[in-house]
Amino acid sequence: MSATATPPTTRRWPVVADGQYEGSRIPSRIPTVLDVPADLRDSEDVLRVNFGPNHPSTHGVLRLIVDLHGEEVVGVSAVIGYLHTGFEKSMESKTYWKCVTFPERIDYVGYQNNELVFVLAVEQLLELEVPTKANWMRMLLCELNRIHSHLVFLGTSALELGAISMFWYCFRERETILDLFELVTGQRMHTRYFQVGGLAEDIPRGFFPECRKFVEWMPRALDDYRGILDRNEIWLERTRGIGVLSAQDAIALGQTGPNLRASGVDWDLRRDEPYLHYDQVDFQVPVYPNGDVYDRYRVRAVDRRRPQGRAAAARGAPYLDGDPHPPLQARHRGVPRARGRDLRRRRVAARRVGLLPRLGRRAQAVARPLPGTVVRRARGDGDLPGERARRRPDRRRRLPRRRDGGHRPVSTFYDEVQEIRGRYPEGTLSAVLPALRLAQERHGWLSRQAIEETAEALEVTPAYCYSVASFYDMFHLEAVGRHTIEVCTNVCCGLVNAQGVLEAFERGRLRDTDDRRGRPPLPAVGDPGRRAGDPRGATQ
Amino acid sequence: MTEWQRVPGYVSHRDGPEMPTVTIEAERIREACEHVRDELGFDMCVDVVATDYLGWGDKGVSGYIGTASGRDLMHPMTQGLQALPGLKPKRFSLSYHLLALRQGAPRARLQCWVDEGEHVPSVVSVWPTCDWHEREQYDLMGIVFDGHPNLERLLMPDDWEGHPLRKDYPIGGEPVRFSDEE
Repeated sequence: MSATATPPTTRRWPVVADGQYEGSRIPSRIPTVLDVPADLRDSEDVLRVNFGPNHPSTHGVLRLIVDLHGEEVVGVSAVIGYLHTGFEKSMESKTYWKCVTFPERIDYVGYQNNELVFVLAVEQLLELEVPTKANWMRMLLCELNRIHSHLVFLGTSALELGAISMFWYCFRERETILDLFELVTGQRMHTRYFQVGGLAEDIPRGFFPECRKFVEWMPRALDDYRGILDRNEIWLERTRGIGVLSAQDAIALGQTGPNLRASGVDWDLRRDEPYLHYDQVDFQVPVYPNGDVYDRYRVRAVDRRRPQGRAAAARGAPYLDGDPHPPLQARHRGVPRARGRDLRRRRVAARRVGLLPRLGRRAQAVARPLPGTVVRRARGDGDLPGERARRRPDRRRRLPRRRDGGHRPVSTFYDEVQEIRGRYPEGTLSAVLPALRLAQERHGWLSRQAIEETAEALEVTPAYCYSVASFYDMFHLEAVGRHTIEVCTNVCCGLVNAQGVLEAFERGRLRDTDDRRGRPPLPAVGDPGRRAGDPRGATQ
Repeated sequence: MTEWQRVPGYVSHRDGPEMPTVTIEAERIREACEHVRDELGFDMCVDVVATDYLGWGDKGVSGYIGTASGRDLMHPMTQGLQALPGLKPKRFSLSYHLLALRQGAPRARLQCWVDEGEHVPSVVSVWPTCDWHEREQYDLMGIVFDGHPNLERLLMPDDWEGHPLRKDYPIGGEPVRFSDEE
């Protein structure tokens, strides 16, 4: 990968390639409707059939009205709109700030790209400058999102052509991408991570190593896919020479992106009209001339092969990885940091479009890189949520951190239970589990007295609390040591001598430094091998 | 004389940050589109968008760049009263977003203005892709395109009444099916 920005080479102007057929295949009278030929129009052999919208392969969104002559399709027209939910109308009545959630839902496999477009538009309106770090991160996530989108395309289209295993392979990698998104944003889909002016939060630690792993892995996964498909007779039969679109027709019909490139048009928005930092990344644009389904597959497959994501990661690394400190966005949400008068100007400007709470009542909305946790708070007026706090659980603590970060005044057990109850709807029993956990945290185990205290605070019977506590293995109904060691004895662990470990415990040959009592065998959660072999892994 | 002034039906043009906006007489939009496609090389029509300016200019606004007293924050030292936005020529604007697939990727916006009840010539014969674009604008905005081969609703059900993206169409105003209120 070249370290300097080089202009894209091998560019062909004009962009049109060799046509696959003479003239145009666009129907003449109505461009989007294929009419039944005149000689068949009055024939009784032509059968009109509704295909969709509930047909499994149209996924409930597309209906085709098909005219069949025998087994041949002689006429077809499409009916769409089954998934139309009026996003544009809804967005008219919202502030720009709130609108960010809408465009992602327009395309649920390309959410970040859609979000980006809207955010860029508002930034253009506000004349905002976005921090470099945020732009690189946006680019990285958008490329991951593009790979994700192509994986869904490949998996589902192969599935519908009869190759069900492709679906599982593609969704394996898709899952990894979703995990990465979850790591960054807390959401797997519809992340709402891009923000007018930057990003919603700083990039969590640990993202880049994970991301690199994926970027290294992806080309190999692609070899898997191509191994399955490229010489698969069924796949080739059903894609080669099917659905041919010439370059001229593709342009006339307003095709974009990979579909255009599969028809031999050398056009890529990222290279020809670069946004974000695409002009600083060196990548090649795959173009195929045939315009059939097979080439549309190849464009996407090679698209992923050409590691734009990796290029973005490599070029952006100094901005993303090296310096943890530059704020992703300024203190006031939606507006990047600027100095003095400029800042004030922009802040007021942003408030006008509903990006900010009123000045008089503002509070911080800061993405602050703390070790292990990111806290963001904002307080606004009636237009915005009264208080918004978001936290990531610290890895070292299983229990959720308190909102005030642990610096709370000493309060009684009763008060804390009331606080817990306040988090859940009234009249439900949802608070029982956290209250019991709290009691156990205080006393070490759930004595009869602890259970009665909890029941009193929750206004339920002690018997109910006891029944809940006795159901879960995590609650101790008798005194335990400070550390609990659980030994898994299911089949997998049994094969590696879990029974021996358990007996060693019972004989007292393996012991914690604390005084302890035995615990019944418990199936491991998730990782049986490690737990059985290594008792330290089983502490909780 | 710029290249835009040679476009049939030319009224005015304005250079924007991302693309020039060229206003065209509504009756001659098809000729204008043919001209820019053949002479200026705009071979792709990206989108056809109608905007409803109903109520525009009725209320004084200072806009996102102004204060309540009318000072334009993007232009320091200006002072003045809150202003009414400039009136638009007609109720609906209709924009054709065009792209030329060549070096530099130039874009352009052809714009024409129509009032309710006025018709616009269809440009399906110029760019086939406008078939669904124009149907969408007819469906959601109620703009009628003369010469369109198949002007039917695209997204809304065929028996729908009204055009949802118009400003006088209330949000949440439609009856909810299978509810008690129907």
